[in-house]
Amino acid sequence: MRNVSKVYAGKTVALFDINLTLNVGELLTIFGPTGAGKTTLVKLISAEESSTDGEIIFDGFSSLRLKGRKLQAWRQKIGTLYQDLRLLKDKTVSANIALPLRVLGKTKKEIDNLTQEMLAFLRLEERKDSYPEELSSGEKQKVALARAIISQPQLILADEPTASLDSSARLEILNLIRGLNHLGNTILLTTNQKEVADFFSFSRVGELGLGRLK
Amino acid sequence: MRLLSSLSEALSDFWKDKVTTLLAIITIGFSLLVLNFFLLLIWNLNQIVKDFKKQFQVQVYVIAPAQEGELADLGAFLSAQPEVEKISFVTSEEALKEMESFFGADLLKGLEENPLPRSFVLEVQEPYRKPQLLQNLAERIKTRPIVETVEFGKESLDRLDNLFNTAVKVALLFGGFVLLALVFLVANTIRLLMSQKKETIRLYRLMGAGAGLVLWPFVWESLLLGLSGTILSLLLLWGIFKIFQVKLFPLIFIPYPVVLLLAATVLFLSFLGGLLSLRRISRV
Repeated sequence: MRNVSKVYAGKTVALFDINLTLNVGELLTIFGPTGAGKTTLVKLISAEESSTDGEIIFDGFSSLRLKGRKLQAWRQKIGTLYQDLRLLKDKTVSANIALPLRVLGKTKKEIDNLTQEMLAFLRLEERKDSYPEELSSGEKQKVALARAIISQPQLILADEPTASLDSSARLEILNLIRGLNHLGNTILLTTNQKEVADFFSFSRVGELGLGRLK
Repeated sequence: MRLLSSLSEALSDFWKDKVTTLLAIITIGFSLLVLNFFLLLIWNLNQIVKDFKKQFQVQVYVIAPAQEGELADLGAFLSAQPEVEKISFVTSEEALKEMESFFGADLLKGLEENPLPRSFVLEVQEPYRKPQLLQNLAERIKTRPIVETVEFGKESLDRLDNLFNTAVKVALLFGGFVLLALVFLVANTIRLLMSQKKETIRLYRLMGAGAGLVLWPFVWESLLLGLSGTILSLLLLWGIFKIFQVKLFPLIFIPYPVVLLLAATVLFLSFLGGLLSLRRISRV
């Protein structure tokens, strides 16, 4: 990210002059209080929103004038675990997890196989036909994580992945994320929980406050 | 593959939004029923007009002193006219017999001699059974020396043609409104279904889906709405048709090519209606 700023409605500065590099295979934790701009940062990287100033370079492409097929390709290379999860209420666990594969145009057989593998990996097989509202908070989080990683994206964004979890579910998710990083995945994680930042202290931790990176 | 999976998604969306879908299909079905009913009436009216004109004849009355040779000349002249399909000669005696069989023998009992003139009866070819064209033929025939009068029921024909033309205009106007309403009806239904799937559409787009992947299920839904509405309207029309046929008077059903053309038009307009609401998808 080069000198990236985001200003909402012409006056609210969500991010200011952010310069940040994330290397392949790295796990970067962005720690900061609520309102620091963490979600905005995730939205800019995932191309959900565009920056007011500055530029993001990802996989050799610039975020400037990102639209059409380039925008689609950019978004397909990133798997996002949203803070609000964004699970589709009217779709089963399997169908929710399989969404990115459908976007990539995989065949039904490939979708079925990969979804099955992912369900087994996260020990969600018994829940495959359940709907999100029938799941516990921890299970919902795992489904959202499964959806973020099933297409083996080049970058995984996890926005406050443990915000609404009890301690055992939190530990399970954190271990999963650490495992994913050990498997070589590049991950950017945001949190406002000190213990989460401490958990990932083996890797780089950045601090964000009032839209500025310290 | 994608087309099929988007079709199955469209069907599953229909099932999830049963009430919205069913209401839309019923509304479309009944609107189309009005259109189809008009079409049925017009079709039958057209048939009645055709049948009436089939029995239609032009009568050429000749003056009393006309000689055999002159009659033969006139007969040859009439046969040579492009409008004439068939020609027959009616003597005074035949005319009298016909009149007696129609009105009864008593009516003409007191007459000392047969007052009815001899005449040629012309059957006119189908394309010429129009008031103005028949008028032209009559004018031409009247120029012959032994012709007294030419009659072809101009007023009846005029009235019939006017009635038919008015009915067609009303049907076209009404049909136009119904089809226009159909476009907006489909557009609104799709918009409603889309608003219920707003989150899904947004999520798909954020995962990098192209507009096509998100759009196809809605295209299918538009077409399915139009198709279901058409089938419903035709079933209802068939029911009405049968009731008319059994209880009132015999009708003919709209021919299948016309039904297919109508269905294709409805499908195209439904597609158009769907597209009207889909434009916004590409903006996410």
